[in-house]
Amino acid sequence: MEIFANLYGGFQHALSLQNLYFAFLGCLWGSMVGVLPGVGPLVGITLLIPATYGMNATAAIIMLAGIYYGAMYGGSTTSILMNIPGESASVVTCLDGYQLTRKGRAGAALFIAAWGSWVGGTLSVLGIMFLTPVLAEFAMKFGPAEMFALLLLAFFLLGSLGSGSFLKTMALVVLGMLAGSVGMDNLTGTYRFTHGIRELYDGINFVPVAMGMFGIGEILIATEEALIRDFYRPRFRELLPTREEMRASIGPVLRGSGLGFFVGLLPGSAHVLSSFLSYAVEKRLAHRPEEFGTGRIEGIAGPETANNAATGGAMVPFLALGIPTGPAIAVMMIALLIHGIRPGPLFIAEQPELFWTLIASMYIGNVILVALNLPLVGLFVNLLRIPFRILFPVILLTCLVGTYSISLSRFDMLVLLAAGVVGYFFRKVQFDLAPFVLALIIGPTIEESFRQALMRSGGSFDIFWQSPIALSLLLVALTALLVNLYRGLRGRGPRQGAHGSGIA
Amino acid sequence: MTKELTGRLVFIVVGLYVLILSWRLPFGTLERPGPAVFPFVLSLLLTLIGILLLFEHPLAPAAEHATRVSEGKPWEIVLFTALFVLLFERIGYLEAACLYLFLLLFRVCRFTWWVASGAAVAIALTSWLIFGKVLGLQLPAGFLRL
Repeated sequence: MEIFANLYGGFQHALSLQNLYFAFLGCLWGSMVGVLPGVGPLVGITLLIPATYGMNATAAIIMLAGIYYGAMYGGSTTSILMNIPGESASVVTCLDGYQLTRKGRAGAALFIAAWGSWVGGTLSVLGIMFLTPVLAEFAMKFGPAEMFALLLLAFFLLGSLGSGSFLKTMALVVLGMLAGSVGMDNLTGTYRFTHGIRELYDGINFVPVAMGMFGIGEILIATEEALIRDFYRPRFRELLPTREEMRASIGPVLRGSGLGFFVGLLPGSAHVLSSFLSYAVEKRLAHRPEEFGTGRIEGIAGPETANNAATGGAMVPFLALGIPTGPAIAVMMIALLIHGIRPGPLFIAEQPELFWTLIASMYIGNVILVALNLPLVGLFVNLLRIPFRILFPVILLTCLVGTYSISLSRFDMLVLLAAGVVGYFFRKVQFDLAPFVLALIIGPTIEESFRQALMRSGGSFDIFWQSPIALSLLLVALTALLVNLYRGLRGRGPRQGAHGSGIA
Repeated sequence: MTKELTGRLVFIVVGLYVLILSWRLPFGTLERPGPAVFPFVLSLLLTLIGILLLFEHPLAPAAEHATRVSEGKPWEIVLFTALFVLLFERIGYLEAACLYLFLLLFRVCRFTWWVASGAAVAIALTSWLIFGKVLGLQLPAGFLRL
């Protein structure tokens, strides 16, 4: 009952004019960045971080969260209408979505994607509401040994959920952790790997690295290709699906909600993985699986629901443990830190009003997004009329300005550019970038936890196996490692798909 | 040498480089592990993974879904972006943005020079208004003192 009382209080704050305005702004901007290929939620959030400086923390987190899940709604629009994924989690929607467009059922496809996204997003918020406080309370029992074990497990899971081979993913994770060790060591004050460059004393700034790899790198790849734009613009009256189509979507939507939420709890490319897994599940359960890829409603309903439900799942470890499970969430964490808010076990206890206002605003945001993405689909589609050769210079300039504005540092802009080149190179050799970026931000914490644990125990490793929580997590981590090594040796790694994403 | 192989060799090179650098840092004791421990272990691991990757089969290449137009464009973009970064605090945001956008639109996007100039000025001005005035970001003033 306390939960509902808290939620009621959250709605009272979330329904204030100011917070509604910022929720709307975040959802609108998120939908727009989701629609535009090459501009995902990561870039969308980063670009608006400077705009949040003048806001209070509540408005800032509401807007940034709106961008995050708004982008998932928007990403399906171009997949369905143009066979170009707006962002990586919508890749699989291209398979059946575009086929439905070719059959003249684009409106129905958009409607089903939006309704599935709404259900997935809303049910996942329920999950956040109930699971986050429980997990946060459990995490209060965590000391450095438990935190080290948890993060180690997260890294091995990252390795198994990446879209390349396990070894490749682990290579990037290790490389990311090494990049995270650049700068001053917090425990001893020693400078590591700075080569006398003053700007590196505080370490490598995560934001330009993430934006460079995902934003600039993506653009560098895209400019090598001729993007042929041919798209269908549905009229509003064409948006309604038939009764059969609605009935066919119910099962996939419910399954996608559960699948997406639980996959979202895990670190890595949860949105991509959840949508692919959902597609695979629906195909397996279908009476005529050979029809998938020719315009099956289930092929849209499940994946789009799953990738939206994954946004909720991803928020749980972020809010309860302070662990970002994806690059966009990691950037959100940076934005919150700028406002003096630290997500983690103490977040709900210290900022209950902020937490419950955020939850309430996510319910509201999901409603706003359905309202935006259906009637206004024509508006978003018009964005795609802008030729890419006009659009990408604007995106480049925006990334540069956004990076500069965070710390007024030209060095960070060079980091952005270098990261873009590295991201371009990694994409050419089919490496998944997310593990590197996550390892960069989480790596210092895992090292600090390990060293603090040893300091606490006087140098004895017993601290790791004497704690039941740490021991359990380490055993699961070891199991994950052995399973992945075995799969890797047997050559059962995932293969790259047509859009450079893994399909297991 | 294929790109795939180069990618894998990079891990070995980086791993060995960091291994040498971290050897020079203090290792501390078990009671107080020093700043060298983690980078040393990680760089060993990275080198080992790099070696193992040399023996792993490459993945099937991603299917092409659009025509490859040019492999030179990315490097032009990188060069022009580096130029923008080096110049923009010296000559001002608006001036540098105009130049940067003109180079991208004219050289990379192959617009005619007059279309590229007009679009560059329009986009640069709009971005200055949005970032500098609406969002209130601090952008370097240049010759025009804007």
